[in-house]
Amino acid sequence: MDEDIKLMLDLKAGNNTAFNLLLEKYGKPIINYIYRFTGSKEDAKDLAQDTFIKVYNAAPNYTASAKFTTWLYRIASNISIDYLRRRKASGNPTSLDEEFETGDGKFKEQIADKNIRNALETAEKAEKDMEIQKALLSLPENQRAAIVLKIYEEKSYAEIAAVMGVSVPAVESLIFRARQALKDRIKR
Amino acid sequence: MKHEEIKGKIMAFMDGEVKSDLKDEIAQHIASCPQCLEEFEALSGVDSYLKNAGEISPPAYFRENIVRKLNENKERRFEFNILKLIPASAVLAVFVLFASALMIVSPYIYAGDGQDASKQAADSVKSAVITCMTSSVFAPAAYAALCGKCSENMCKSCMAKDPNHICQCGGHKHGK
Repeated sequence: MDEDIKLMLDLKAGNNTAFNLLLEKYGKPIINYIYRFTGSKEDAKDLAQDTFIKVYNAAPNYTASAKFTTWLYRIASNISIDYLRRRKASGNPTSLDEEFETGDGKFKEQIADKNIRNALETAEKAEKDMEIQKALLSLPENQRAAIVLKIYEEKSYAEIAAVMGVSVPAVESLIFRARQALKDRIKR
Repeated sequence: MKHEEIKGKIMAFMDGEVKSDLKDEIAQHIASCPQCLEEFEALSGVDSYLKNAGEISPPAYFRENIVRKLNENKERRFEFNILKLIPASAVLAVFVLFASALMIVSPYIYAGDGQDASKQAADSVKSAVITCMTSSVFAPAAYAALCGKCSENMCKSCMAKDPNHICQCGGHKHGK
């Protein structure tokens, strides 16, 4: 039996240590997945918490009908989509964290630090991250979800299809269009 | 496979989504076809570009925050369940009991009204009646015990209005 499914069944039986193990294993990937999807570092942390709370609360009714990660990423995707819709409704559809937007301020502070080289490297890295995140946010939601699951989470087309509730050819098409759009963006 | 066919499979090849027997053929074609090589390198460039992104780590107390939120939710759910344990029928029964008590005792309240001379006695009756009514809901046993007291006060009130009054309940002796 899949190790994750076994942990979920243990959790269902009331073993909270199993939940801790799932948190340890998937905490970081889920935070990063949500971050790439939503573009907000701070909110990604809260949304990841909500994802695991949903997992915990769903444990009593859990049945091992699908791969655990498929189910987990589906929950994270739905939470992220709801979040993006709320943000859109509030008139702030795709904004990066202020930490990025007001880059100068933070980075200047770091540069003024004793370790100038490290500060510059950090600043460059953060700028690069911002650029990549902006490129991802320029994609439509479904293309972004598909490419993030492929590149960062290294999921197969079949698994991405299961997470997103679409067909495998649809996933292939979404990833293709996302790569083409990003290719054009990088060229510019 | 023809060039166009292979070109359409470059991305699937990169993603490890082509059948193993086609892999060598596609790899050889890419190596020998400048156009397909360019497409392969462009798509690989996108992947490399994206993979340059840094990662974020879970915040301190990530697990603790989740556990805290779960406990808060549990408490909230417990409070809600307590409310659910009080069935609507119990609320309705209390209401019916209260309304019945009011109906039974209300004639005594009005009967207690009278002239100035009997005002004190009437107030006494009203007070006893209201006590009876409240007791009927919250302490039915005490209500039963107060029953005789109501009659006594009623008679006192009638006698205060008219000393020659003969109470129909036969309790006129109370007024004397």
